[in-house]
Amino acid sequence: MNKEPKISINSTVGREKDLVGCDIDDDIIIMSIANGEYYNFNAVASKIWKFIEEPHSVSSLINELLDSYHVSREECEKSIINYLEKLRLEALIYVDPELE
Amino acid sequence: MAYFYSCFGLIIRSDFPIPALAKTCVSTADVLILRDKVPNNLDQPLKSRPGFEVTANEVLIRVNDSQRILIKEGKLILVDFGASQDVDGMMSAILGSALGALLQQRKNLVLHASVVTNESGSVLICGKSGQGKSTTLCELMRRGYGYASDDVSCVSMPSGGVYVNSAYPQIRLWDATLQRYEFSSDAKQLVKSEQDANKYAIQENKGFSLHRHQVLALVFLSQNPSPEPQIQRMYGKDVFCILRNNIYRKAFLRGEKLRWNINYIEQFAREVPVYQLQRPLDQNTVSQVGDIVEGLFSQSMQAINTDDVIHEEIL
Repeated sequence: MNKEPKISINSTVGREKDLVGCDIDDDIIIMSIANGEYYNFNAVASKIWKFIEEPHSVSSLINELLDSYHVSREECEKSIINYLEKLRLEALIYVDPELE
Repeated sequence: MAYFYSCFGLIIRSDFPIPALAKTCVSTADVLILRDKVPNNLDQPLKSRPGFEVTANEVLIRVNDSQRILIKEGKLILVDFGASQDVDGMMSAILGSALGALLQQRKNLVLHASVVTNESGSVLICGKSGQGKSTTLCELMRRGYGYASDDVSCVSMPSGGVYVNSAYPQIRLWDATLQRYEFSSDAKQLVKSEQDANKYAIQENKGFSLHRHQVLALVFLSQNPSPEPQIQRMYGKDVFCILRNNIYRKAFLRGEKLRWNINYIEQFAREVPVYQLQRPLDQNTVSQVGDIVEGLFSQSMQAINTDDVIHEEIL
């Protein structure tokens, strides 16, 4: 079975190519060119989306978010990795697992 | 014999008459409409449905079992009348889906909207079928406003500004609304039947102008149980949803066309205020709705005047 590698803080994440986004009054909306589905991001998701415009490690993303939100590192890591899994399932991001 | 028409800022040359379009004496065509054989399928379509197929540069529309239209690269429309005698159905498909697909291929933002105009610009009125787009348009025409479209609206965004190009002089009205307003012509053609109501196309030259109009506002009409019509400015994702849902024949947009359509939506939203106008269910509020839309024209005029003052002060 071809199983996707697990996302860890050492993974690198970036935006998939076949997407188009727009920013209306600070709401970010992403559309898949492949299927026409669109997604609206909340404030935290928008911050993540802007940060991974260039591929970044999950650890640097978590550090960036810890600077902005009052939350424990453990809690932040858990919820961000869960959220990134969802983005990957929707084919909005790709994950490179090997970068240390 | 060749027939020349002007619509959506384009000169069209057709080898058969299309009475709903405005004639022109200009004979340098941007678009050709030809009577020809059209295949029943396209090679490797990006999308295929019973009524249409889409590739990167072509749209095939199946009007009925024997009639088809092929729209190619924003320049050519091939019309196959087949064995059917249904000329009205074919004309309706040319004016609607075929021209809509052509304008998309020419990289315009094509919206399903009625367009009210005056000397300061235009207000686009969107909404699902039966929400009162054409009725609002007629109410404003009764008050002296003009119009640029009542179905397919072609929005262009050259550097600086959002504009709508006039379509063709035709208004589509349900039976009940038709009785309420006076038109310069009695000629009407049935375009749609739903349950106990018929919709007619009226050729109305009065108030129609073949100009490009700056877009001052977009209004999305809907219904709610409140006692009075209410207007509310929309923002963010709500603006995106209104624009996206009112793209004309959005099912034709695949691949790269989706990409630049989203870019256009973003630009439109940056420059044009978008409103939701809700009116009560089962009540005749056309006069109040007309007042509200008329108010958007004067609001935009005030904004323009204020800009002038600021500009003068800076100078």
